[in-house]
Amino acid sequence: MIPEWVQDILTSKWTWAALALVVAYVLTLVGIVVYTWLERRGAAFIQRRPGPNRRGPYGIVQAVADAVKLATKEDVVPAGANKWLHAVAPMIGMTVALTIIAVIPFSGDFELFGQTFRLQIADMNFGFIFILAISSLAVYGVALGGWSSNNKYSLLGSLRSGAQMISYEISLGLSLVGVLLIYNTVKLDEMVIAQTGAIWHWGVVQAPMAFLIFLTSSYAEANRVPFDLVEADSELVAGFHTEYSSLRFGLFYMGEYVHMAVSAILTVILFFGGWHIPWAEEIFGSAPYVTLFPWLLFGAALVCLVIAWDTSRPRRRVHTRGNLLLAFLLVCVAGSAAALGGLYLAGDVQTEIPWLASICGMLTQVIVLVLKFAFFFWLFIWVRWTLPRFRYDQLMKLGWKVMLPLALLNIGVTGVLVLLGVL
Amino acid sequence: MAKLTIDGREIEAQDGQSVLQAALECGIHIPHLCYHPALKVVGSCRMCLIEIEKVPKLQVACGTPVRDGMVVSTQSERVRKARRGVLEFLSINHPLDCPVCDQAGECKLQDYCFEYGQAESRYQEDKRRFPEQDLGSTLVRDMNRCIHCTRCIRFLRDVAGAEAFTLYERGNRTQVGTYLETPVETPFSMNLVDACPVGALTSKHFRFKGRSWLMEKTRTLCAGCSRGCNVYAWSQKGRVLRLTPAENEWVNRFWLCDYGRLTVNDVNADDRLGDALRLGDCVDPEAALDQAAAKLKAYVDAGAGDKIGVVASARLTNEDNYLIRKLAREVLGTRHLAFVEGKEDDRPFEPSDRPLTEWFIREDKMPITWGARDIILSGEPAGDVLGLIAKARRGELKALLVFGEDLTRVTGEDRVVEVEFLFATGTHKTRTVELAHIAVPEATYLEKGGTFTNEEGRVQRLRPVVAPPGRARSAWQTARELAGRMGAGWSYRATAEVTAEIAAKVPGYQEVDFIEMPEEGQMVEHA
Amino acid sequence: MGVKQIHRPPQNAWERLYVFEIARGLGITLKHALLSWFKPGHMPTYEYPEVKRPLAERFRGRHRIRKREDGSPLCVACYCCQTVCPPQCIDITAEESDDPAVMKRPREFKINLLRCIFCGMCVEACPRDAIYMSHDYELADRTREQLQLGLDDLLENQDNDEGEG
Repeated sequence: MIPEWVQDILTSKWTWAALALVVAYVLTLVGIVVYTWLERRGAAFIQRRPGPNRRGPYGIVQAVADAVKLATKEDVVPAGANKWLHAVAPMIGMTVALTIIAVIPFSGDFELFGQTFRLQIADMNFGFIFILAISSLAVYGVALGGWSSNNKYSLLGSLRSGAQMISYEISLGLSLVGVLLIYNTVKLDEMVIAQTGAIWHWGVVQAPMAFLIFLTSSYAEANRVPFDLVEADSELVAGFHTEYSSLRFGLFYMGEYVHMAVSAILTVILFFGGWHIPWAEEIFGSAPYVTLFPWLLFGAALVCLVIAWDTSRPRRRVHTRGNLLLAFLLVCVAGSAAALGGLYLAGDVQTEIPWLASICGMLTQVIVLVLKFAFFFWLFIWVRWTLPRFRYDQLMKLGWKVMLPLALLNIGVTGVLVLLGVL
Repeated sequence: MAKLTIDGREIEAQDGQSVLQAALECGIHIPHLCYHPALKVVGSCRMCLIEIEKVPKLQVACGTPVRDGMVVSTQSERVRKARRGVLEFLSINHPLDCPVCDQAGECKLQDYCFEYGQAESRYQEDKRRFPEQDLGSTLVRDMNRCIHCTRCIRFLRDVAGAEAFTLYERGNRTQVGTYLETPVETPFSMNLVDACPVGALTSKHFRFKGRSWLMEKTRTLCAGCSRGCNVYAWSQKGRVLRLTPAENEWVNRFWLCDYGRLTVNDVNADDRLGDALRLGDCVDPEAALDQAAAKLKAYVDAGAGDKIGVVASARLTNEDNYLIRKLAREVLGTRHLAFVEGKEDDRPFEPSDRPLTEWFIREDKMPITWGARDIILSGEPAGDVLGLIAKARRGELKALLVFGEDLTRVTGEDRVVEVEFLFATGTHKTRTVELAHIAVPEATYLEKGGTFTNEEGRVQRLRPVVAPPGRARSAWQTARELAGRMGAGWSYRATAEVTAEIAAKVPGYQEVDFIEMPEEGQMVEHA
Repeated sequence: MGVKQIHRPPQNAWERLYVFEIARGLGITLKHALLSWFKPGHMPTYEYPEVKRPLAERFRGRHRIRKREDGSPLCVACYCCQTVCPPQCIDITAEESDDPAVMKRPREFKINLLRCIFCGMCVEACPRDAIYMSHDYELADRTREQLQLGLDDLLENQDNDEGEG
């Protein structure tokens, strides 16, 4: 029915690894455009102001303008800096964050022509350990960046940051030991599968303490508020990246967002059921995601229509006319999506073209994952504009005197509960 | 001597003094408008009303002689009320045009209204109106502002000796001025502006040029004649806007002639020299001095120092002339030193009560003819300028140095001496400066410090009022620069150092002290 | 230097857990975010170049000089504003007016806007109510010279704005 070569491509392991790579890069690198926009407008909305709303619809092109600005700035290397390390440091942070993505599964197993695939770049059987191992390297980027700048503030900032990252690394790792005990595996995909079904199978319900410690530690790891002591401007100018400009600064900046994105995905994978919708099997039958796909399309069409309606209105506050072209395009997209959804339903794809249905089910899972991820990414921003920064002694006290004992306690309690067969 | 009490203060006054004079002398200010220390008392303004114990009515302070045991109150409620009443009457017809009136800021009526008057007028009727009147080349009269104090009339009649002003018409229409609008023809007409306590008489020269409170006031000397009148130079933004007399009982009393006041126009003239000239082209003064010094040194080294003629001037300061003389005698080693001096005036110099026209303005239009004689001659003989020029024309002189003078004005011819090297300093672009091989700019009397010795032998201090144009400087500084470049090693940094050397070296000048000089000056003995 | 003791209110056990207090804080910020999202009109922001903030009647912008009916400046060059100006940014040159009723008028009236502190004392001092401060506050320019106002600059655009008088 379909050509041999298409079938070959579809059944190739590399195809799906490559697609996973695309999803990973969209979520991290391309996503930065959206993240910075989200951060700036989110901050603005929380502070009751419009934020960047000039360039592009809802100001979303602002991030591109920022990028162009950064790229065209002069690249300054301070006198007396270690040029090589100064150049390498921003790359380390970015590389580490991107490497972690490799082991993250974006969907569950799906069958094509009798073979099973998963949307994952590298299916390692020690994926979880890999994450812990790699993410602890991130401190090098910060420490080297500060040290190589030949600036006392940078050095102080990087030392603080190094101490902070190492301290919270411990709590982070220990909090996950509890999770390991519960799931009894170190493979991320198996962890997600363990969370299938009722919502109380989710990690967050099973190990709430581990979740809280993990979330807090991951904020500290990503150097985000309330743990952004690295860039406590009032004390350390801009922390370890004081002496960075142009794209090198941009790399640090992007690295932070990639770090946040990775943390958010991990949170979803470990504690919020990954790509699973609770009780999906109970409600939608044996292949819930395949069934859900057209409804997802209809939902997307609806969202497009709402945005189209909104963009077509004149902006009274800035005296601009509605963006009718964009609205038209969005209506087209919405129409197409709805049409595809209709075709899918009418064509009974699930029984007629099972391989396509498989792929659609996989896409649904990816989208569910992305939606959950989006919430946790927003949480990063939300928390940033809600909480004030910790003082350094408070930070250390929290890390060593609260987080660490709690994580140890958590392991003990979880272990006992697992032994008793409660979990 | 009479002892009296004013406002609870016991003071001593001379018999015959009025209460106003006695009060002013000891620093108690009684408001007055028609009273002027140099004019006859008329008591017409009623501003200086005072309350005297055991005298039922208020009395005018200017017209009441002091008496022993008098108890005077100048600030009692009754007096203040009377003043308020007087001011209200005076203000009835006085326009509220202080913003455009030149007198504002130094107007007695304004000051008193501010201090004693009431803020709002009760006068409902129309004010009298007169058109502005042109009173000759120096004065403008605005009759609306006049308060009929008659100070102008009294000044012209009693001091200037020109009975030009009078009161005419009656009552509300009373006017002060020259009948039939004849112009005021007296060389002291601008004193009327100072005499007028309000802005009824204003100076055409100064009209609308500045406001009294924005100008800086510097006490210095007039260089218009050999009297050496004390003046206040009023400057703003580096420009002298007017000269007004400063009181000096021994020199000019309260007055200053129109000629003297208008010398300020020369200082502000457009043809002032600000840069050095070489044969009429602008050059850097330092380079010009380098060249001149090299040239002169060549003469001196060749043993031709005595073939250099030096012309000083009674237009310069004592310090200028002293260093010019020192340059000529000690550095150049020439006998040919002369200076331009003014005419003799055999009229008595001392200020007297006779009309100003008889004694005030001196024939000698040079400020320090006598000082120059003291300093340049110093007992030695020196030829006169015309003799020096004649010598130069005979070819006996190779170079000629002219300081601050235009030789064409001395000779009355349109040519200067043809010598090998003519060096000149000049305040303006004169013929001499244009024809000189090298000319450097010179500061005028309002731009430099120093001392003047007047005809009487009074040394008075000249103060710099504004900065000279461009890179002009005093003649003594030019002489110092020349001498320094010729290797003389002079170390004068300030005018006071030169003055100190004059006091040490010039006979009769021992007492002269530049820094501690009293306001009325110091007398020296003419040699 | 004195030491100021700050007594923080004691925290109860619930508050010391932080988690719930943080959640409460998140709720507050979310409330504001949603308000901004769904009711953008309630934001206090003025979208500046398009929407201008209504100015107070007494707002002090750049100066202007009122004219007489014949178009000549109402100013009589009394120097009151120049005298009172704290940063001394006004420079007047007076001259005799052709109009016998006017007497004195400004030949030059320079205001150095770069130096001006917009205190409005010149307006206060003016005996003729000639100088006033308009509502013109968009004063950026490309050169310093363009911000030295002359008499002509002060007389133009009278009708566009009303200011403190």
